[in-house]
Amino acid sequence: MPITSNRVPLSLLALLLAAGADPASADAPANPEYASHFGILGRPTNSAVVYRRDGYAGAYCGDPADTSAKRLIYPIDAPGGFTIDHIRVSGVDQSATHDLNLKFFKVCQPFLAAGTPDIQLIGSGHSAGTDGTFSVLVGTSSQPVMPETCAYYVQAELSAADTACVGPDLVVREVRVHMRDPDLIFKDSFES
Amino acid sequence: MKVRMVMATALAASCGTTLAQSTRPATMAERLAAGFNDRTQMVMVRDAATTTARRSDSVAGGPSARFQTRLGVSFSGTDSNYAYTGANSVQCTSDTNPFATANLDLPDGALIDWVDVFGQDHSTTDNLTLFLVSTCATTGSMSPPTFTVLGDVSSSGDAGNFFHTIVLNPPVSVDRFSCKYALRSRFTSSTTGPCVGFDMILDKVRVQYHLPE
Repeated sequence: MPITSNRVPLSLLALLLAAGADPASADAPANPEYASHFGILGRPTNSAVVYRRDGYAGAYCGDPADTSAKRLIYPIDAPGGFTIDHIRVSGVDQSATHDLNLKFFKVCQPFLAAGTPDIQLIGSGHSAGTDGTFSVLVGTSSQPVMPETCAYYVQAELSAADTACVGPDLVVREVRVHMRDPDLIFKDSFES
Repeated sequence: MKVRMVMATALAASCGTTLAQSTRPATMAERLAAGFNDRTQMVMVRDAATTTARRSDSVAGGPSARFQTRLGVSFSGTDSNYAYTGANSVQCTSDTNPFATANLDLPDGALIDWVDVFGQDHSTTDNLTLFLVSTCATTGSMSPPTFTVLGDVSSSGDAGNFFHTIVLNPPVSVDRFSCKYALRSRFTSSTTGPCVGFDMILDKVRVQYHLPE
């Protein structure tokens, strides 16, 4: 069978799958699905905290004098059976004193019974380094999605409790979820 | 007004319900209970299920089960008086508005079977109530949209962690062309608050649905 520019031979694909190799780069896996949030669409953990929006729909703390914790929650809608490979968060960090701290959580409860939420930290990351725009990976181990018992979300912390924040010097602009659809065989990859 | 009610009944019957399940105009008490304070709003109520639908007790809910979850923090107040604190789970701290809403995004034609509510009720005076609501409008119609309370459940009698289910029997059929679907929570027994803070916590709401064959 001739190899065309947009078709992968079954034998080669089978070898790659068997070896556990990802045929594409780590940031763009085969059969990817993506879900993105604008920074400003994060849900505050406290409705009294003021957030403002920059020109790119990013979010930053609107009252630097407020010392309550500034945290935004980004719930993830992922279908059952999918795998969440990682989260990529983009923004701006021009602060010498603060970083954007990021955490990827899974919270689980029994399927058909009451129970205290079991919150598990899956991955973390933070902005750092050269002032300016940043792009950070959060969580790099694949997480199978189990929506019958668990929910998934990203928390972005602009400042911790009892700490003033730095206004527009620290902005969260995008939270992008990288997922994989398990229905690999029947995807369009095999069609011309 | 009578013509509008007839049209609203027909729209509610065809949108988000099946022929076997009837709807009726909401009473004033039912309207206020679900946070519909505007007398000009068209509000209908889907009759409650008379039998409990059989549910798969396997961990995954069966091979055809699909889920969509809304964390407590995903709920937004029906007006700016709603206030809350928390992370994934939230407690209402408002003095005057105990209502909040979270939108659903379900596939067209999906059949909603159950809506499960997880939370914590430490209050001896109040209960948390969760509603499944549809908003439907005929394309191009000059009439206001029709709201339908498709089902509700309360934490009444609970002490601590709770789990309750809205049973939709027969299932609610999703019509994305004419309707939108949402979850509405009320954090107190009264419709005007004040909320009871940490004594009433909403963890999450999970919608279980399946796609028709």
